[in-house]
Amino acid sequence: MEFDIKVGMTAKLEHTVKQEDTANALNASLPKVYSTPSLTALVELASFKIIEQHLPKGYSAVGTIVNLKHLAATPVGMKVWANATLVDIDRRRVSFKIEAFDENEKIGEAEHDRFIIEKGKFSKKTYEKADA
Amino acid sequence: MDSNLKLNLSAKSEQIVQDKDTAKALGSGRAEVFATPRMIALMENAAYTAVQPVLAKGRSTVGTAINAKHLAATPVGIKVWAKATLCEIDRKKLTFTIEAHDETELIGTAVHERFIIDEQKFADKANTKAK
Repeated sequence: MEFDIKVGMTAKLEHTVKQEDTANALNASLPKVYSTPSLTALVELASFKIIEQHLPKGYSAVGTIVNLKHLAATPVGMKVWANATLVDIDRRRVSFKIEAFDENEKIGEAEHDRFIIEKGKFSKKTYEKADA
Repeated sequence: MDSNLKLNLSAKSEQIVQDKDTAKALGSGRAEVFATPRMIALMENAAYTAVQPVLAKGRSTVGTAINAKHLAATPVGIKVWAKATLCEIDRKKLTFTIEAHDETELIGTAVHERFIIDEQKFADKANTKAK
């Protein structure tokens, strides 16, 4: 199966930080700033956005590795965005580099791998676990 | 301060995978399985829980780096848990090793860094950005 994706493709994803995206929403003892798991989701989504439209029907891609530095804190109400670039393709493994920013400064950088899957096979295999 | 911090402090966090925890629900894919950002949230929670009880009042920790491998897929309805162990203390920087499992197998491994913060100072600094 050939996929119509190339090294150098990019995508940008924007989001405005809401209370539900804060560390405080995950645990009331944590501060009201954009959480690392939320930044992880933004980084993954920006990467997926590059390839999503190029995957044939019945295919998707799942995250397998995230190596993320969260460099600065962002308060609620501020805009954040991630710029993702496709940097490597090895059969079904696709690698990305991502930089994330808020309105003031760079807030994160990451390397991320996704694996292209056939949804039917993947779901069948996974849900066999639930029946075990 | 924080003199009760010591290597090998550990904690476990667990949850049942729900629809809202899937990659499909987050939009990070189309798969109805436990999403990587949710696995990372569970891992961070275990690390946070390992050290929070021994920190001085008014102090907390925030995540600054995570290097996670997501090794296996977990469907909705299955229990997952993460166990974090404090493996390095460098002044305010704490490093944890974390393993995550579901009822069948090892689903993830990670090295995670957190910084000890003064909650008030941290909040004040973050909020000045919004103005």
